[in-house]
Amino acid sequence: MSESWRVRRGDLQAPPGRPSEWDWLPPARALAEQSSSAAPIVHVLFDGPETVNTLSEAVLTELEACIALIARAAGVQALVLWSGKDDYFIAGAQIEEIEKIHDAATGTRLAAFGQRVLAGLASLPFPTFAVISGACFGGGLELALAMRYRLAVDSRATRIGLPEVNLGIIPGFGGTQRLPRLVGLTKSLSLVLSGNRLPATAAYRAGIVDFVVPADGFAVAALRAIELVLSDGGRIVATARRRRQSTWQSFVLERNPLGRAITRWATSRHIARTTHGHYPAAPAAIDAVFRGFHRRRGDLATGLRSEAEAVGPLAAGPVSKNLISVFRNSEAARRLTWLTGPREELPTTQTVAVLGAGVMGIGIVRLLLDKGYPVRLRDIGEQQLARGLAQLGSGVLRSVRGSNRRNPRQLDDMFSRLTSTTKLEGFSAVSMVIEAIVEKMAIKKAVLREFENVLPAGAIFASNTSALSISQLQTGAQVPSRVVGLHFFNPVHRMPLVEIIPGSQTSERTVAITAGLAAALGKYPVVVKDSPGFLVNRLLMPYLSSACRLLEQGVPGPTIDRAMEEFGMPMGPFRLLDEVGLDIAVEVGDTLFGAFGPRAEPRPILRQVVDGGFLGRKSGAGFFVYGTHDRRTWNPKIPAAAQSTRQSSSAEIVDFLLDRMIDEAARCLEEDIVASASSIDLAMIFGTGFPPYTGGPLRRVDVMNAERQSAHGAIVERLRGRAAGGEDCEPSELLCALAKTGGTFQEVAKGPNAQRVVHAESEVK
Amino acid sequence: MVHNSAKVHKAVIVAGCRTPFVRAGAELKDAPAWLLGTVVTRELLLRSGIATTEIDEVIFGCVAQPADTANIARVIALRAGIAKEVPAYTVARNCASGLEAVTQAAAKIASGQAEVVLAGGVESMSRIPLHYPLSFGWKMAALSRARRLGQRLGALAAFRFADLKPEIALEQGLTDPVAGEIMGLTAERLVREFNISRTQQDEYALESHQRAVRARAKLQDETILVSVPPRFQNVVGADVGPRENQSLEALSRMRPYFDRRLGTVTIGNSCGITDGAAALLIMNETKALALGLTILGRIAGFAYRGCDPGRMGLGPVVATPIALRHAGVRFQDLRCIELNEAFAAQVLACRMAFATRAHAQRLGLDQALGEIDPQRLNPNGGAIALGHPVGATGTRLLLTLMNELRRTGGGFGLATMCIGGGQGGAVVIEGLAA
Repeated sequence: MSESWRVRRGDLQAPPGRPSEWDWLPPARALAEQSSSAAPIVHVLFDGPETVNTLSEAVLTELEACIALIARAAGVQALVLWSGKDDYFIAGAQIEEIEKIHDAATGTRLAAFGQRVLAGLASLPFPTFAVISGACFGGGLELALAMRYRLAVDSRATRIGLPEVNLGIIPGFGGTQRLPRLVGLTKSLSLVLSGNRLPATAAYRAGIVDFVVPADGFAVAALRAIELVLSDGGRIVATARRRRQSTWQSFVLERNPLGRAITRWATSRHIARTTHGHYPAAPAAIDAVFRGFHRRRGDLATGLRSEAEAVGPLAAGPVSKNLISVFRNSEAARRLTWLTGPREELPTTQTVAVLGAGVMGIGIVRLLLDKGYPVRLRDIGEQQLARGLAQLGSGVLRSVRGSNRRNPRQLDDMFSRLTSTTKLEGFSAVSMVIEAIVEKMAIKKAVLREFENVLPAGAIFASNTSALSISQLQTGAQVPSRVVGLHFFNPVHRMPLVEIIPGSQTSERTVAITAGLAAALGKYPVVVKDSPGFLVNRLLMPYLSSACRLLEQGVPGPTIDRAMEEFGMPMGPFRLLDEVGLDIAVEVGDTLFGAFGPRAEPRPILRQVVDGGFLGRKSGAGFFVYGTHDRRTWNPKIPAAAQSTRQSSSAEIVDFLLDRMIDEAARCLEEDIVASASSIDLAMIFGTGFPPYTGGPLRRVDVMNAERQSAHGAIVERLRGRAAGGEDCEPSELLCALAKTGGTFQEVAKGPNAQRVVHAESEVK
Repeated sequence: MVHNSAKVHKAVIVAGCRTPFVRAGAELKDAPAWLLGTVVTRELLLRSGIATTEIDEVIFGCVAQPADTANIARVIALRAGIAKEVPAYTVARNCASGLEAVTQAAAKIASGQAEVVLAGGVESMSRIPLHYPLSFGWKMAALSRARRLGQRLGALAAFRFADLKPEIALEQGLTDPVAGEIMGLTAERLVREFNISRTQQDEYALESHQRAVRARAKLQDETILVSVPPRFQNVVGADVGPRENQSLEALSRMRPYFDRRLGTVTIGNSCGITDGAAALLIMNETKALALGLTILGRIAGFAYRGCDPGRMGLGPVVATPIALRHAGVRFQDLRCIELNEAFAAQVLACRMAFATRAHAQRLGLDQALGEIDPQRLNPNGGAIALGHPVGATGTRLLLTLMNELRRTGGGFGLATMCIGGGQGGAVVIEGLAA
């Protein structure tokens, strides 16, 4: 009956090949037939029917039976757990099962069940070893933690961590209890709260694993390490663990009540400041870790119980559901599930050309180099090149300073892939050109024409424009089908979203390769129809405009910013405007005004501020005045309303700013700008930092609608109220229709773009 | 890839480029030699557009191979993204290492052993190290072996200040170990034997600068942009050696460097210590045509020949006749000659030895080859202005020569150089009009 778990009895000799290629039997048969004193080691292989190893309830049930059989078997001296997948050890619990938890009791029961299975593993009377090759997340790590020793394979695929908080829950199979006991309080808090995924060597330094074994021929090396441990009764590991744990920090912060109190206070304060209380998993995780850590070693049971009890409500709660939805949308975007043809990936032997050594160009160069591509950078001026390259160097050096993420050899490898030129030479073998030159159609067209003569036939010409029409750019090109929009956001290496904009003549292949490259660069591509502002900028404008309107009505700017930051935006609207540059905001505003008419009219105050010479952060002052050390104060020269005409609560401010954004998003759905509401949610989260706990601007409304009826209707009413007051903001037809029928954005019928749907449902099935 | 060895294949040049040449210790001082080689190789591959799997061999010349990049050609090939299956090796023939790389490529192609070879030269003279004397290392080893206190004190007492006196590897490299003379002194010998005046040398040096300044745009066709990671402090787009304001007066004020009392050879009328790299893509002609590439030049013949180490500057005179014979080209058919300017005195001595029967016979030749038209000799300046990154210059001469021939309507040309240790190298190429 067992499908996922296989067993073989053997010794410490590794058969040839990878573990998945060894001879394995179902557990019952293996333990019945192979019981011999000459085979003292029980090897267990986890190799589920899916491409990824996950811990579903069924898999855990099988594991429990398997452990029971092994516990009864005679002559066993050690257990070694291997994975049958190349890139995964165990990726964690099954997301589908977490998603299906709708009441706290179910969540707690599932966690307690997992804990029980792992307790069986932990109580085996002989040494147990996990050979971690590939991703080892969440439940996977918790399983490994229930074993006595862990070995990590030093390969690129190996990543070890507890990312549960990213899904709005906490580790539920004993992670919050066993990890602190192994590595101490501060290290486990940082792992549990950040969800960081460590490579093998970092996991060793943190004390999570006991050996790092080289990747090539890892089975032989792992068995040698196991032999070493068995031969000296584990003293070698015990000494190494003690050495890593006995640091002065641990004496000060962990081994006395005062230190623990300070640690807890500082951690909680940090979490409160960064999450504004929107992510209940974080405080719950802190609570669980401390609860377990106070107690003596023997009393694991109480800690486990409180962990399981904390998981239940979190898993059933709305934040976890929203975060899982974000995760699913992002996975779908990254996997390009909307592709009709085969996925095309540009191999890292292919050179990518970047035109323009400005901020965006250099950001793209850095990203490409970072992901292993050879890059040819071209700018027409040597001075611009020099400035851009200096920026590239200092940016990279700043990011590696004090971290051992990169050694000099890696920097050598990265930078030796870069060539730069001012000429139109050396492009005959590049596979893709990404232009990031000035936003002028005539210049972009001229450059495209120039490059058409030197590029090889199959090369793609991608434009990193944030405003210009791709269809217009490709008109008149020799091969219009290879022209596409590829809109990165600033700062390129940090913003996860890219908008991919096919023009009217862009080929499917061009879109596929461009999206493939974006995914290979670690970005989340969203396909957007070629229309003014594309998606993100179009939705940001009414939001920022509403903020300006509130300011004009007398609500203080800092109050507005604070309200949005408390809501969870990474920065308030006025700080955002300052970062973008107010002159640029006016420019984008004018473009959208031209395209969409009165409803997109830029607020007069924005122009007044620009006319006053305040261009935002780059000029030292915008809505805020910027001092040294990131200090900023509201600019006293901003024209204030004659008298404060209104007082607003935070909730009202949030609604006022988001209502217009949501309405504009509804229009985007009507116009088929993107395939689905999920795409909009994803784009706003990854493109603007819209708070993930909400699930995105549209999902937030849908969820509110499910909780208390007619959330869509409330927006319609508020917008109509504002329209009555003279604002040009008549709600869109779609929004009104949803208000009437009680439907949701997620169900809106797919338009002609339907095949490009990035939708959660298709992933589940 | 291995062809019938009886047939002789023609080696042609399809692409070439080089870094700007920069005085040692200046803008490129932070660039290790492998990096210079890597950017030039990447650029060459991008300009040619060929797949790296087409390459059969990578050969680089380098005189002072850095200790951290043994077989620097292989390091360059891998860092430049050339497929790992393509083999690579490094050659050394002192100042002609970059020439040797190219002639090995030509020989491999001629014999059918290879169809496509990437050949070049590289040198970072900024980064040639200083050494501790070996006695220092031995005494350190003795100290580390000492166990008891008495032994340790004894080992410590063995150290002398002289053990810490650095040995300058650059100077050692430029000194002929057999003759025991630094290169400049071999030039002083030619000065005396050919009776060359200080003024003649300075005038020649000035001419080199003036020609290089005039040829700036031409030279920029062959140079690439280099900016040194990870700081990218500046972008170097042109040779920095040629001086617009160089004057006879300034040159004449310089003190003799090698023979300070009676000498005439100065830093000003010698080649500079320089960083740089150059590379050519060389192919079997049939292959180049099959790949649809433009043929820029053909390698017609080449030769190396030894001479007296103390008169190494005359190397070109002994090597050239053999190369011409090998190529089947007459001396008077040469439309352009690149004769490396190690020292102004040495170029002037070569010119006289080429032209005069008595000198030629003293070098063991039957007769003089003939007068060299000064206008056709180093028309775009030479190493006195541009500098002489020893491992790279040979490749640079061929590149500059080929481009000059192409600009002036094609025809045969000669690149020749003197080689420390007493050798001459000469390559005859045919440039195809652009």
